[in-house]
Amino acid sequence: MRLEDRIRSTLEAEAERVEHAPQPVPAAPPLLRWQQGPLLALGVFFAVVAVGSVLFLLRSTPVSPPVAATPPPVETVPPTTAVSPGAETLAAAGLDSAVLYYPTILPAGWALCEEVINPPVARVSFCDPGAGENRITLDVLDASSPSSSDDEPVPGAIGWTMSGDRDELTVHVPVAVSWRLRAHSSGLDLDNVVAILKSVPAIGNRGSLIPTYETPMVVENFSETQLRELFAPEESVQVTRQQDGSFQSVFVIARSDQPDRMSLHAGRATNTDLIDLLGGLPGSQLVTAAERPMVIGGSGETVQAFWIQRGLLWSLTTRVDAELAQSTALALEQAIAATDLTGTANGIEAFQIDGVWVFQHNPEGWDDALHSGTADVVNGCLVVDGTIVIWHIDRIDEAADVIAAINAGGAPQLLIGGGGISLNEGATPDQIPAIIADQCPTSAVWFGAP
Amino acid sequence: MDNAYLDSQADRVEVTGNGRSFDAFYRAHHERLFRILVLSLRNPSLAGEALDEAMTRALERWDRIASYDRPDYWVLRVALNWSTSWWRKTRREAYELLVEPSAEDGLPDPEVAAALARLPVKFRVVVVARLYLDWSTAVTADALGIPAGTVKSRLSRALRRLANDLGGEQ
Repeated sequence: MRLEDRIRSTLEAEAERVEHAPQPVPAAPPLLRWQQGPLLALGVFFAVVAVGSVLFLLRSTPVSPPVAATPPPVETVPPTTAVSPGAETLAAAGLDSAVLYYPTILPAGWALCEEVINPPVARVSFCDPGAGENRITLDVLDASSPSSSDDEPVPGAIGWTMSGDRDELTVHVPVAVSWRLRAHSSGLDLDNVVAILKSVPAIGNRGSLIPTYETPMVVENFSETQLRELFAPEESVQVTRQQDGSFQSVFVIARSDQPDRMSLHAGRATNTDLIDLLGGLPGSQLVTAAERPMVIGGSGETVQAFWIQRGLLWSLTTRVDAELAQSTALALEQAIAATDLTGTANGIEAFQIDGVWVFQHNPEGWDDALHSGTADVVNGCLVVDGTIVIWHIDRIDEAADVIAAINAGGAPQLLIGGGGISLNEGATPDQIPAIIADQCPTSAVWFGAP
Repeated sequence: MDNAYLDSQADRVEVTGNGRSFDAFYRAHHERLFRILVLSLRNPSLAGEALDEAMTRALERWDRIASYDRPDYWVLRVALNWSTSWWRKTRREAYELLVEPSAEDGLPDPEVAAALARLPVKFRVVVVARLYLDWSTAVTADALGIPAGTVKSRLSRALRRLANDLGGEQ
């Protein structure tokens, strides 16, 4: 039978199974969010009753993030000294400063008074538990959630918007492509609210969550033996490598002395992956003990640790305890850092030809649009019509010819296939690959095709 | 239900013009889109979640989406993009991903099923569209929002990968 026929009959057999499998979706249209209100209210009512019962029984238990397998203690950022940007005197909050969405400063005497996590959204409220109704509530929201068009910009904070006044003030802060933070406060000046928001690690410490460029590694290029040496030098550990079909490699780490196994994913990273965990990972905390920014958190019985290393986003998932997850993640990070294995098949390489920076890649797919214009060398970087080109590995010789022509006084006209991004057309600076931004600041990048 | 029946149901809704209701659209397209997504993503719960999300977004913008020639293509694209977006990856259970088809699954050709499972999603969805749905290159390009040349190159690369995976079969 021909290959295409075999594929067809396999897909038909799989589709047949889909028909007979229970479908996890209802056969009725979804409800709009405002239609979900009454149901939500009912759910909240029962949740409040349930939570109230638990609190009654555990009256003396302090409030803590609802992560079932609580990550182990992590190093914290230096305590914040008292500041007074507005009417209130702000002081170190005394909270776990590693949680990505907890402020590290609050009005003196304030504490965490409510926390609700329902991934992908989270809500935390801070208030003075002793007196008064003043409080500030932070919501992690999907970036696509509607906000009012009447909002005004917050002076001095790009992209931040606000509405209301000291009695009821709402401030929106873009955090990543996927998430924004909304602060709703009562009894606080704008200056206080801004200072509190800037102390939130996902906002004020954002830079520490952005990876610095490292030579990419491509796990697909590794042999089983190399992988075993890298991930499991101990004899009690077995490593199995599997593909999940979505540009990730999955390693199953099975320890003979542990009933549960761990799995390790490695997928192509973007600069904002760790910031995106703000909404995607319940109770996400920054682990500063790692060489690179690492975030750990989880819900139920699952703990996950994420870090970006050598161009890949690594995630360790385990159902064993959080302390072992963190120590394993740290050990893996060190092992990966120590390995000499590198690869370039999916990464972008930067190098110089005759002193001019050029970039190349070898992607699995590419777009079929066209970019044309005059090639030039600007600030030591090869550009085509003002755009940095990442040359396909099969066409890098052409880049060398172009540089030679420019050095000889020419102005070569080029037509290059592929697809691009431009800040002028809606791309964000985070989307410019760091390896390019480091060498050649630009507002547009063209991902070249062969 | 076979594809012809589902297609005919979909087409019946298509011709009702801009006044079509979301409810009718949902009932006509849901099953087929779910099947396409399961075959492409190889994860029924992820497919269901992605389709829910895409349908909800369509409902929220129905005034505009209803005016499209093929709102179902829009929903398919949104569902595929959503399912492969970063934040969804962080939430999924790693253990779900480790299941590859095996002989015990009762599929007639487990070798091909396993090779298909190893294909990246962007290739697999083109294979599903072209070989299972029998969509033309132009229709596939329209539905997935990619150039026709990309459809051709992805199909060609997918078939080459599958052939290599199966020991060089053509």
